[in-house]
Amino acid sequence: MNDIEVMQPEIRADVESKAMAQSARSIVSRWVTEHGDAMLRWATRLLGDRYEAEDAVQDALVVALRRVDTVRDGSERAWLLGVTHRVCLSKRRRRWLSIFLPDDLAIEQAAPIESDQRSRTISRCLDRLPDRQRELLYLVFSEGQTVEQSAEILGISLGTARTHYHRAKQSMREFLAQEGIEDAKGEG
Amino acid sequence: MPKAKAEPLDRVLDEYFAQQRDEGDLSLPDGTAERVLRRARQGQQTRARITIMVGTMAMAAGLALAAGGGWLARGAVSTEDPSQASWRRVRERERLAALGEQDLVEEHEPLVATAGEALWDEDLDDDEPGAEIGEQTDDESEESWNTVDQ
Repeated sequence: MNDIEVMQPEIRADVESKAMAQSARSIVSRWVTEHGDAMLRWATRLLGDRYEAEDAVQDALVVALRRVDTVRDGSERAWLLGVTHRVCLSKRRRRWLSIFLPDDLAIEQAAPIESDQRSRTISRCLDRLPDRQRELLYLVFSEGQTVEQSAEILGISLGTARTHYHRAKQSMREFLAQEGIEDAKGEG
Repeated sequence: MPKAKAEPLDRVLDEYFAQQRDEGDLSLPDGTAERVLRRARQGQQTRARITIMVGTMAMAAGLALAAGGGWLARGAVSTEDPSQASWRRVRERERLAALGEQDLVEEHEPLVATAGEALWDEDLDDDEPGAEIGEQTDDESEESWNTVDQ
């Protein structure tokens, strides 16, 4: 029997409650430190608005804290990015309302940061891809997720993710070649 | 990176996304963890309040159902409406009187008169104040009719 089990029920409940609060605090702090920026980048990419993305990440962390018992060891980032993805999708669905708002209130899609001509060209090529394919390339190349983890994040089957991933790369090779970026040619 | 071997396109995309990450400089604002914890606590309290409210409503609905069931059960045991019973008695008296069975009518009189019957009897009592006014009025009206006839 440990120290907590021998305590009076009310004291024990208090200690357990404080321990849970302490535990929640340490979990959230670690998530923010280790995965917060990745979650924010992913949310910004999905929503196109930095401030809405910050809200989405907060929402995602609240949801994740409530479901902390469902996270699997070793796939914490993929799990958090998956929660962020679902929260962002929900926000995007609500955003349909924004088409009825005046232009100055509607959220505009944020353009990617482009410092040079080459980046602009690559951005343009990525924009030509279907959303799902672009998201897969982002998760793999920007966030270092495997195709399997990306499938989990996006809530699709591994087979579907693989198909989209290969099509995305095939299309990117073609688009980049059309734009004159020859060094992307190669195996496929 | 998860890729077994880097293809030319992989290198292009790696560079592009690394540059985007560096230039984007996206990081969560300070105090995010505290805000998340506060919202999680608020959410927990709200859920607890909703649970209590739903429980209370369910209990009230249960009590209402039980009360309704009791009322129905009581109705099933005694379906006789007192006012209807009184009318039934009146009709029965009229029927017996029509047949000339006055003795039976008296036998049939309820031991306890209904409130309406008692009031009716009192109104007809000659000793009650106001009864004479009714008689007087009738006589006067009779006279006035006679006067008119003449």
